[in-house]
Amino acid sequence: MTRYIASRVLQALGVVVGVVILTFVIARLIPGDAAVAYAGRRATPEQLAAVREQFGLDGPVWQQFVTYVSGVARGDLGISLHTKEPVLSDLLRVFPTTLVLVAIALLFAAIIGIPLGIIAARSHGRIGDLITKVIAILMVSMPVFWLAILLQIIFFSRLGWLPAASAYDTKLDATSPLYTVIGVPVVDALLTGNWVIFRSTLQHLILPVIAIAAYPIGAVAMVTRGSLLENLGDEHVRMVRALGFSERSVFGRFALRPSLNPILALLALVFAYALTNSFIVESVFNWPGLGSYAVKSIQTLDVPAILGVTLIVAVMYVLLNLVVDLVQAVIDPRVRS
Amino acid sequence: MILDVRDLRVAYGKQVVAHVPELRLEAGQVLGIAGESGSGKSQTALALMGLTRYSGGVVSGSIVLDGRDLTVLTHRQWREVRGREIAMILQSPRAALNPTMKLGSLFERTLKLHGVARADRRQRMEQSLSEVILDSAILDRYPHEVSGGQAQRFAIALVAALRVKVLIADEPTSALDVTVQSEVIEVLRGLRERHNTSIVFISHDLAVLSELADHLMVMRNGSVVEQGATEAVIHDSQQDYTRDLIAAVPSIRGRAL
Amino acid sequence: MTHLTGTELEPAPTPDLQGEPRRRRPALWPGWSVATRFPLLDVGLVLAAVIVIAGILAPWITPYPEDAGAAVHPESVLQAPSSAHWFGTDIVGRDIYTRVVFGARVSLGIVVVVLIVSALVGLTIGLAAGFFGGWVDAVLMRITDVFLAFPAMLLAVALAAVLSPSAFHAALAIAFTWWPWYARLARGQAATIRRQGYSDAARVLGAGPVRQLVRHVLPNASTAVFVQMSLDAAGIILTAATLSYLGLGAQDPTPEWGLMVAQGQSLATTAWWMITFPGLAILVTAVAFNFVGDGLQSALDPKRGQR
Repeated sequence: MTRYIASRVLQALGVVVGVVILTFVIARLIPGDAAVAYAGRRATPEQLAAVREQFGLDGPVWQQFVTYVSGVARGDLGISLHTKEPVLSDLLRVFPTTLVLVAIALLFAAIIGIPLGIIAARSHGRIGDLITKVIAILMVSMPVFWLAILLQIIFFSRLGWLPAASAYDTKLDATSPLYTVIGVPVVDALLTGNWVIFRSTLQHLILPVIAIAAYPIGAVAMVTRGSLLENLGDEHVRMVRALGFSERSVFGRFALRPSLNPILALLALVFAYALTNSFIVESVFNWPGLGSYAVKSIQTLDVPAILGVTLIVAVMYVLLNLVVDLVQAVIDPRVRS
Repeated sequence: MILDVRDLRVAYGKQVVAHVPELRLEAGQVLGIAGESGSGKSQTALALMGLTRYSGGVVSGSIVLDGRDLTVLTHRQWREVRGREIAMILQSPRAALNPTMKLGSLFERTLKLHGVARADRRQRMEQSLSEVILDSAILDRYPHEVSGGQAQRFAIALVAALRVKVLIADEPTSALDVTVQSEVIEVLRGLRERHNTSIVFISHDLAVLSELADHLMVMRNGSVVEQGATEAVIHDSQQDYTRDLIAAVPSIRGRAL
Repeated sequence: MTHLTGTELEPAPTPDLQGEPRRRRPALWPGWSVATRFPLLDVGLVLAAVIVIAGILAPWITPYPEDAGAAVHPESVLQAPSSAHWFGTDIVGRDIYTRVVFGARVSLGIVVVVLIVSALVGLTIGLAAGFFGGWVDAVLMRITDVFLAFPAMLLAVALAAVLSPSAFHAALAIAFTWWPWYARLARGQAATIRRQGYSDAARVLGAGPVRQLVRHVLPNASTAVFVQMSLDAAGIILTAATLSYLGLGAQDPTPEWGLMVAQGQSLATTAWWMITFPGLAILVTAVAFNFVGDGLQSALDPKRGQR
């Protein structure tokens, strides 16, 4: 087990190094002026000069690479063109909010998607299977920006049932001010026992969570169904049926657990997808997170910020894959050996 | 008479994949069912266990186990029968055990399911394991950590601990080496002698069947070709097909014919 | 096997080590397989065909083909759906029905470019890795891992931001993130086929490695790649639409669905038709390709699809 963990950690480190190199390549080796690529096509001559100075762009490529890597290693990702702040401090400020949003959405997706997949598998070959499959395919085929806009128009503009912008109703700060703990409103409200604002944050979460969760729900349902059916056809399921276990046990205890690994692997994949989707959802719902930051960076062609976002998301993805690998090893002993 | 089957048919849609006009089994006896793949022998086994419904098969006729007709049972009633009165072991012993569960955990859950008191479980497990000549250390292993022979003996221990009246063994030795095969057969023989368990032993291999079976039934294309006492079927078969099956097994030809 | 004799059968009649044919069971009962084979593949194929044909015939089946470009009609701005404008008109008075139909050309064009580029790159790298094995494999697959670690859309975003935004650049950016999947797929297939010794005979006959690849490994890998391509078409359409929505893909006069949604977003509460129809077009197209991909997977891989 220890050797397995060590090898997986080393592999993940290797990929992170590769990711850093790739961001460098994207930034520098694209045809044209590297300073323009880095500072953005709308940069002023002064900005270009500053960027050249800062990264030693007049020197040879290998020197630039060393400068860049040592910068990344020190946490220096450059200065954002639109916030004028260091990219790293920007990222640390906006990332936790997004992480919480995506985590809640994925949890929601697992809670809805796994049972949906179980229903489909249980009614395999019957109408229930067809209906669940169509629902799942609709979910994964939904353009997320369109879904977010529709949700906003229907539930906010037309029906007025749910709020549609920002993380909570800031007017409430007047009566019960929110104190910052980790900088994520919903968590801060919970930790400080500020129930008025906590309620408001939950209401504000509903629509963005639904928009982000749509794709993961469909994907989780389809993979759960496939994985369960694969296991249900296996001999070990026939064996426990022959031993007299109820269908509930057969599904819940014996078939589901060996089916969990593909679902976990999928969740890591879907996490990355949900994170990028959260960019659009956040910008539609004016949610103060990494997504709004990224979209703003894209619209202002703020290359240091874009590369910083790319780097942090890629590193998150590698980390998550590592965690999933380790959890899989715990769930299924065959993975370890 | 422990098992009395009349006019059993297993059908998928309109196609009947197995038809057994008559099958009788006395307590402590072993019935061998022989046939090539697709002969309907495994479908017959699944029907006896009430498991065809999970693959879409429909059973008609009557299966009377110890005075009770199984074909009319509900889902819930079937669960009372499986694992208590009738059980089954399968061809690929390791694939038949849940890959994510230690053998001891499966054993424990099964005993619990069938009402063995917590205090008695450990003792029951160890006793059964010793009957199949397995060390109780195997309870801490996962299926992929044991050999095929060990896994099959473990499955037999599991069934033995449940004190079922009838054991269906579907090709229990076919995936194993020859030496391991004879171990498993010995263990089955022991099960029958110790607990007076009746066994329905299914195999394509007449040599293996003739070692253990009191009676033989030969199936082909879903129908019963021939049945009778083992000696009679082996030495005095009335059917070309059975004779061909026998002729195909060098060990029987050399020894018995 | 009707008249078996001892001499013909040495040593034993082929025993089926799988026992009764569990996996073949659907074939025993036609009704069973019909019940499990949903008509999704058919529905998907029909939908996809309609979309492709509509795209090809766009100039002849739309009332105002000139609206697919930079036309301006101040007299018919923001009209609700009517018999003259089935899907209404946009902010400069262009017919949205016309633009949606022409949009099929843009989206399908992007799909074709992405699939061709990423399949070519991915297959080359994956087949080389799987076929040669050893250090070639190790190096190529580590590179692939790095690309896989980049969320596809994000890499496309980063690339499209650096290149100037256009539908073609968006397609290149997507292809840049898409090839690693084909590389992995092809590598797995090539390695399996190599292990199975399909090409042993070819090697004995003295065929060089390139010839072996083209003649033996490539055709065997193509089935899996084909299924992957149809499933991917849906993902590519969604990614391309998202890039356009963000302003990183097609630019204004181009009738691109994601771009049209972005153009209608600020007016969506009043002019609902501006976002509804282009959005539906994306959804229906993605559903069509997902139906086809899912159906093909079930049909070609009975183990996963039908059991």
